[in-house]
Amino acid sequence: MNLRLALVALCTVGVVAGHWLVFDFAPIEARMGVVQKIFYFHVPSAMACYAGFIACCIGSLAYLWSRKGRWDALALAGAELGLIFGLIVLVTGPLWARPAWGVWWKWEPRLTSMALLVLMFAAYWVLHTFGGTGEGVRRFAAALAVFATPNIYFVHVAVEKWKGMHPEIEDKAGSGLSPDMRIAFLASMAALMLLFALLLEQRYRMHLHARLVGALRRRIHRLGGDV
Amino acid sequence: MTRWHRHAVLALCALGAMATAALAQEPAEPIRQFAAAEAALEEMKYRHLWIAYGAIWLFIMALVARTAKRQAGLAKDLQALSLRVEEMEKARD
Repeated sequence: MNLRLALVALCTVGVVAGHWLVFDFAPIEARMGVVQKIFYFHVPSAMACYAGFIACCIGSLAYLWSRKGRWDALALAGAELGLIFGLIVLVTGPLWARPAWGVWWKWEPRLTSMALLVLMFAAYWVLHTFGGTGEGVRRFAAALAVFATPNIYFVHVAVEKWKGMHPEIEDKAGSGLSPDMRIAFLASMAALMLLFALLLEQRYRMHLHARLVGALRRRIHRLGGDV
Repeated sequence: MTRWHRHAVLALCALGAMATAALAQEPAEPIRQFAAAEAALEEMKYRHLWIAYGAIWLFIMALVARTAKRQAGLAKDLQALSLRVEEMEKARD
């Protein structure tokens, strides 16, 4: 409990410091101007999105192997966070693209593959959430997550392999950034990844509790009670 | 020449003088920059930056609030259902 509170406090300080570094410390980019500052939370959001989908894949594989509900809970929590951060990426991207490229959206490899990745996990979430409580639905959803996850690789290498308009600064470990920009970027990345870890743990616990409530209701029903 | 004719001749002379003055003027400077458009682009950049950061924290805060609310509800349900199961098992024994 104390560790969690300490991590929440650290995360809050990190997020505030990250914003100060982004808006006050990091210089304004010469060509794109102030709108480039979207980059400092756009890219960490994409990384958090990947991390969420990878957590979903690990949970799904472990669930298919062991059939233990806690792995399914981890998979669902990972998919939910991946979707939230993926949505952030898909909203902030066009807001950056409009002043920088002159268009809201371009059907270029990075953007298209990212949209497809998010849609695949949206399908996983819809199936898992509204497909009923049966074992078959969970297994089918887990298999879907396992097949959807390798697409992260295609999103990641899209610019390198198929070119396009999307900037590729972040893949060179920040080498395309000025030193002050790099500090702001790494601070934002650390703060957002810590936030991601805390949210993942909370969502995982929430799904475990939901399963426990379901199990207790079934037990009451078996004992002849009304729920 | 009537009064009306005099006024017409004067008006024509005035128009001729204006046309001559206009022709004698230097041609207008060609447009070298779109000041208003640049200002609009800068304004758009700031607006989009604030909207983007607003959207990021709106999504995250909505998730945090929803998770906290659901957690609180589940904790309440867990406590009530555990008590009920205990009571039912005692009654059965």
